[in-house]
Amino acid sequence: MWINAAMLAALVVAALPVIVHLVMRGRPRQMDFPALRFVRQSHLASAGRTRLKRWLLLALRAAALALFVLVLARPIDSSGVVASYQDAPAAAVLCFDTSASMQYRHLGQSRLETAQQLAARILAGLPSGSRTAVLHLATDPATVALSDAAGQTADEIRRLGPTSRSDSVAAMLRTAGRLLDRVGEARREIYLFTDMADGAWSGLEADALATQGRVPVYVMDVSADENQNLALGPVELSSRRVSVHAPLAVTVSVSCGDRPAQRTAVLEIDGQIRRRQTVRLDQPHSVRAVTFDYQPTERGLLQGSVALLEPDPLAADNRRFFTVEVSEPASVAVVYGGTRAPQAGDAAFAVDQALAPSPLRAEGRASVAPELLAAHDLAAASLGGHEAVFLVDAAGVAPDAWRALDDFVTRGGGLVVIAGEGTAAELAAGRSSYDSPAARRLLGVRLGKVVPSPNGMPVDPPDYADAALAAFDGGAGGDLAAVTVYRRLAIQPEAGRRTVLTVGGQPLLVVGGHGQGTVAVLAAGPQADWSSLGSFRRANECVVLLESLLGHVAGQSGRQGRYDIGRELTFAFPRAMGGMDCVLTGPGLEGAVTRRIAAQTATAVLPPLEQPGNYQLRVDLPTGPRRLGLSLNVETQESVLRVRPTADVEKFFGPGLVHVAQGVEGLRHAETLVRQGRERTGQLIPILMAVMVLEVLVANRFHRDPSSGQGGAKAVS
Amino acid sequence: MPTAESYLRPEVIQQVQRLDLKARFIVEGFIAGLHDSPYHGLSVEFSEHRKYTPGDDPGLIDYNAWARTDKLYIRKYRAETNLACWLLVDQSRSMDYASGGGMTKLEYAICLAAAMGYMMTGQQDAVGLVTFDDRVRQFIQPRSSRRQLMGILAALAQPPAGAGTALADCLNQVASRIRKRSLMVLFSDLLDEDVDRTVEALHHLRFRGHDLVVFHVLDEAEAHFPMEGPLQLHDPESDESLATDAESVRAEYLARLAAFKDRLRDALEGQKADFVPVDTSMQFDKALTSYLLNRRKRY
Repeated sequence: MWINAAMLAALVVAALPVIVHLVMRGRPRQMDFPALRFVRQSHLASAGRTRLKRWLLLALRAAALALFVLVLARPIDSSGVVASYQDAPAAAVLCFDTSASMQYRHLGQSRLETAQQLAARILAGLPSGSRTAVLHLATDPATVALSDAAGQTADEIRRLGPTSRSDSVAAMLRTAGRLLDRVGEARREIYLFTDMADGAWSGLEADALATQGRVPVYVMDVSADENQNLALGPVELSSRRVSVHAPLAVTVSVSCGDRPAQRTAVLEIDGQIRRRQTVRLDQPHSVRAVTFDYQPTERGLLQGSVALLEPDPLAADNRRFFTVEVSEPASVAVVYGGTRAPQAGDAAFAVDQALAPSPLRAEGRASVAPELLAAHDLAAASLGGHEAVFLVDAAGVAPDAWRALDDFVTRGGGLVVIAGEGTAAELAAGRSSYDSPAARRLLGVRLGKVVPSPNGMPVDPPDYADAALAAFDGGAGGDLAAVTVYRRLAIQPEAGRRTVLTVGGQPLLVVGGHGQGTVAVLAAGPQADWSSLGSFRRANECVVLLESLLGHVAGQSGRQGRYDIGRELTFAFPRAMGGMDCVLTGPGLEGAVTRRIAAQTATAVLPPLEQPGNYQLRVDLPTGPRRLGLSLNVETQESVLRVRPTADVEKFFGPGLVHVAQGVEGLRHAETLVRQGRERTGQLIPILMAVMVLEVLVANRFHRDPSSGQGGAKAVS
Repeated sequence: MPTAESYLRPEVIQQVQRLDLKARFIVEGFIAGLHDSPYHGLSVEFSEHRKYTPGDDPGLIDYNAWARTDKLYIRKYRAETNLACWLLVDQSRSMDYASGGGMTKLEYAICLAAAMGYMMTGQQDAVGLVTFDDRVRQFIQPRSSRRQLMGILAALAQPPAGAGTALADCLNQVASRIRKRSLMVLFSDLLDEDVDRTVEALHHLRFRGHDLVVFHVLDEAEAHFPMEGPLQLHDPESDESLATDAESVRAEYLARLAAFKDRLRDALEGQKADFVPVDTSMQFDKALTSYLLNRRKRY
């Protein structure tokens, strides 16, 4: 196949050297020559060799001209093309990367709009009778089907808008591949319209997208040459729960693209700008952190955003939303063993300080108000005012105390048991109160002997999706796998309990419900010889873990963590809200959405939310309405504009049928490759050069000056 | 106004009508251009010894005399001799050939022969002439008078008979007829069919005691084969034709021609005869100088 097939007519010029040779041969110059005898002898000796050289030279010249014409005709290797039926109806799936980076505007047009125009051209160029389907990142694979209504497909393409990502490009391509696997058309094609942004291709390995059935994939690159975007990173809050008038630090990173920039970052609360800062980024691709301090003035739900005021080519990452609960400090009882008040080095002291550091407590900024209680005073203490009890390495818990704790949890309180030296000693002595039926009924676990790990064992990588680890924010809040355990109590969970953390596959943290409350048992405390939770390096993990357990067992707030745009999400409410209705409101929702909170789990499945922003959940309690909230943000990865190299993309598809094209010219070229094959002009050029060099060498040898001393004396006959 | 040296160019000499003037112009131009040349007289006859004085050419020292007398002498040659010089001019059809419209080989040979005659008579040497093609055509006995030169020039100016070549036979005939020891100067392209017979004939001349100088005269095209492209070549003597390609035969042709010349040179130099290859593009003084250098080496 040839791109410029008309040029092949010029192949007749290849005969030119032969024609010239023959024409010239027909007119020899006639002349007298008395020394003819020497010529005759020479003629006999060299005629054959000379004729061979002459025809070789003619052949080389003809070949050079023919190759030159072939180069101009641009040959195509169509051996790898599966369906080369130019006019055969096609089955084509048009896949659109609708991630945030596709909203980047360049020359008055977003990348998605460019992709739509290209797609419309491709659609118009498909033969009649072709069937097409449109996929984007939020498409439900179950609803996709090929349609022969070109107008409908064109409408779908026109209607495409930026969708928050719910799936990856890889998953979309696999869906397209599966769709085309089932069709009968010989000509099958996948078109992917993307800006090649790194985020869309992250996490892929070589051959991860190798298409089944050799379906050609054409990646239409709509990226811009220059990145002038400024982006906000994820919001980091000093605490998800703050007290009234306690300072809240909201930190966000600002990064720039290929050019230095200066922008104004603002903190907005309730739609009003509360703080403002100028951010200067002096170097390309630099990052600066910006922190806003804010003191809430009233209890309740605090929702806001950090934004960049000046516009830039990509607006999607210019605003980040956050939700904070403003409340009175949570009242917690920290129960310790023995008669001596906890001191530095004691587990109870560490827990007390982790929940409410002394400096914050002194300033009234602590979000938790812990009360230290001796275990022997527990039975007599009034626990009703507390939201949770932390039983920290408390030996000698009397049966009355267990009953009091049982009563407290049954009525909705939370209990966190943290094992330690005292607990272990009591268990080793065989007279542990933790072995009592009352304790085992409440805790739902059976505690065993100490399991030492002298060299330490890391905590197994946890599932941060567990509600008990919600404060870890999907892993962004800390790394539990970095915590080392040196000693732990053996735990045997009973029915109805779930293991949240493990060490070497053995339970470390077990959580379960009891009555209306929740109980958590941690088999290794923050003492230095039990785990690294008490160390300075792991203080963050210790604080976040205790905060997370407190939030979970006390059921103070709904699930806090990472929410994915475009996906259904299960929101965990305080246990007391089980069986009630919640009303969801927020941006992009057509009116309020009501969902029933499951009575048993106190969770409700919320509909997929497509638009970034702050959402509110209202539950009407007998005591009055209670508002909870969540924030949805564009994933930082989605707005990364770093372009994945074409070679990488080709690796994902494996060797063969992926073609990356840019612009209209690229599209034409790609279409040629799609329907005809790979251009081989580049391989002809070295051959042409070699033939020309050979021709020069042969010609020089052929016409070499005979007076240069070649040829020795020969006998004269 | 043309200088004497300008008459050494064949294309200039060609414009001169009278052969005696041609000879005069060549010789005078040649002598004027000699300057400090090796020319010390054309005669080959020894005259006397003279004591060597500083400034004399050491090449003229007679080492045999030095060995005998332990004194340095240089050899002197007689300026005026009665040496008989025969000009043997080949007038066969192959000599009547000019590739580019210039001088034919015969015209060139005649000019050279006339110049030689002019020089020889100028120093009172006797000069004779033999012209031949397939047989001897003219035979003029040598004399040293001025009129003799005019007669020779008139004979040379006559048109050739246009016959083929019988070089060996003619040379053998000449060798048989001329008994007195003489200087034989042959002007020919030597294009006889049998080169071995030609060599034998030249040896015959030398065997009879003649001093022999052979001017091998070729046309420029024959000497360098500058033609290009397809050719239809015709041999005027044998009337044969051959279609060939210049590029394809050039190297082989020149090699064979060089081998032919080498064969003649070896054969003549082995007999202490001179072989002077010239072609019609060469200036006459180069041909004469080449000859004189050869002579001087020998004597």
